Amino acid sequence: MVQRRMYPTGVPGLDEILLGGFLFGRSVMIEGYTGTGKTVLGLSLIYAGAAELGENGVFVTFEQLPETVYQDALSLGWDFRALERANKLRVIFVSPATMVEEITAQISKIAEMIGEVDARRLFIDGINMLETVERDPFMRRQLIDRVLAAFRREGLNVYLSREKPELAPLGTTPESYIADTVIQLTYVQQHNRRIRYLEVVKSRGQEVLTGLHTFTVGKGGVTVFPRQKMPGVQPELVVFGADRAAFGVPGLDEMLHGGLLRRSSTLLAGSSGTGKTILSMQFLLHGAKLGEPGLFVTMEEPAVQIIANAESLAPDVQKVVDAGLLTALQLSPLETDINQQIVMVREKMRAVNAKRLVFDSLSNYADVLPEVDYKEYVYALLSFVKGSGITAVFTEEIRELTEVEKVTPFGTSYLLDNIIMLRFVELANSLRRAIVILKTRNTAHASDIREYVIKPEGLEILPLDPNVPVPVLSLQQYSHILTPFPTLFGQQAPSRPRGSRGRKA
Amino acid sequence: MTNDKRKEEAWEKKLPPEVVRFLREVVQGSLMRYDVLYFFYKNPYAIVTISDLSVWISREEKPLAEALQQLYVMGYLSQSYASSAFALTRDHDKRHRLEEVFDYLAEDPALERAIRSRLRREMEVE
Repeated sequence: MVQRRMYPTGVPGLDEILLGGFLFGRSVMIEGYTGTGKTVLGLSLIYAGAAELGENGVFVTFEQLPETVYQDALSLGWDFRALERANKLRVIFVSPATMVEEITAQISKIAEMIGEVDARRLFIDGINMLETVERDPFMRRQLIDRVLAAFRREGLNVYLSREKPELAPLGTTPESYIADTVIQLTYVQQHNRRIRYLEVVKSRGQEVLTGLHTFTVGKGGVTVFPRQKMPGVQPELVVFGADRAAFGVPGLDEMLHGGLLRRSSTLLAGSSGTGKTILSMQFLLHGAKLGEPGLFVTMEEPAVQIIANAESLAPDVQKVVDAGLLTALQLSPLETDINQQIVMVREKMRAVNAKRLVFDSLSNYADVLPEVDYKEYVYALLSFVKGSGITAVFTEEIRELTEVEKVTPFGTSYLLDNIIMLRFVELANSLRRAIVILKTRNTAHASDIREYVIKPEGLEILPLDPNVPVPVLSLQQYSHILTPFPTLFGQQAPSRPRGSRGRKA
Repeated sequence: MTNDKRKEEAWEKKLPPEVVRFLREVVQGSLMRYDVLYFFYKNPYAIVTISDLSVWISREEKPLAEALQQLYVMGYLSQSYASSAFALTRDHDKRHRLEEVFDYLAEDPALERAIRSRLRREMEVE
């Protein structure tokens, strides 16, 4: 059997999409409209090879003078001139016609420069410039074949970039038929930012992760964030043990029969002011006491503010942070793409070796994402959280103050193992707070509705009054059982005020 | 000795001797040669034909061809058998000398401009 050898590209995230890297000796076409990042991806491939992987490179430019290539590389944090002086790189400036003459000759300047650095990678920026040499598409295809053959002969892995005029369809030119792998770069304008996408549209002889993957361009070049939403891929099967992760909140842990099952995912739903963030921070601080590192992902407040807020819950919180037992990470649903965010959370979780995770809150995404995207995002987020083996708490804001129609905006609660609801309750002329566990997967839980108060040191579940026995009631005594307003026979069900969903019985 | 000549000599004294020597021996008062060398200093692995280079440095082909030929003869440029295109020499000493001079001038753009102006004046006198 023929072994197909792969080599890592060195571009962060790209190898994950390529399931390891490119195949040796195969040509790669990078296509896209102006400004999509083709040259930067080429620079990234060449830099990673020369500076990090011991695969020296050649960057061929037809239109852009090398001095501007050096400047562009410097803006990405790379000194290409230094790599040239170290004989790891050559930036060759040549016209398409001269290149064709050079590569077909037995002795040529290009071959000489490739040999000087013993190059393994070669990037040609703007292969469509060969149109200036050969306008006929069929003949041009032959010409590109010759170019590729000449460089393969030198033992090079060849990358080509091709710029598409606006509105022209991608992937239908001779160049894209010839290349073994075709990567398309695109972007969309979303709100006030541009989201860049990378897609492997052709991959001869190798499997890849299909679909649109996000990528960014900045210091360090291109970073690819593999597509996280993969419909049809089931989350990893989670086998719960008996071990539990407690909140450290007496009363609540009893309701949970000792705490959340480890590796489970919990939704903490409640309206604004019910203490979701405080309770979730208590969950992490209790874990820290037990030596379990925790990660607090915040979308609402800066990370430093989250830590400062926690001081009333734990005056020594800074020591906890310094000991690496509590880390806060701020994400912005508006500023950062969701694929990128999942990668950021995943990397931070790994970096701090998190055993507990709080994600505050999912509702920030419901505000900015369409329903389908939201569901896919939550699905992807939960998939990787479940796979990571940590115990996670997700908060979700319920818009209604005292009444609840649903705990998640787009019906995603089935994805979560446990649901705890925090509620305001209207008693006489005051608002009180109540907590109830709606669901715990694979374990029993108390079905009480318990009152709680929020103190500077956190949530406190009030004890049940032993003097008020809970009557054992039979459903047979009630009518309207399947409505939110069960009514004792003989009593009139409360009428719903106009414009509201009604009042509780 | 005219005032201008005296000024020039005073100004030349401010330059390091290797720069002065390079300007005298290699550039020889030719702005075209200076431009060609400067292009290859900035783009050390360029492989360019006369017509390519005439576009990139915006000079007429005929005098450019002469300058390229002179620099080739002096060993600062090499010529491809395959395409007749020119490239910077692989001679380490010559490359080093070129880099040393232009690295020095790159530190002082005003000085670099002054040299260019002087070369332009010399060309006008000729």
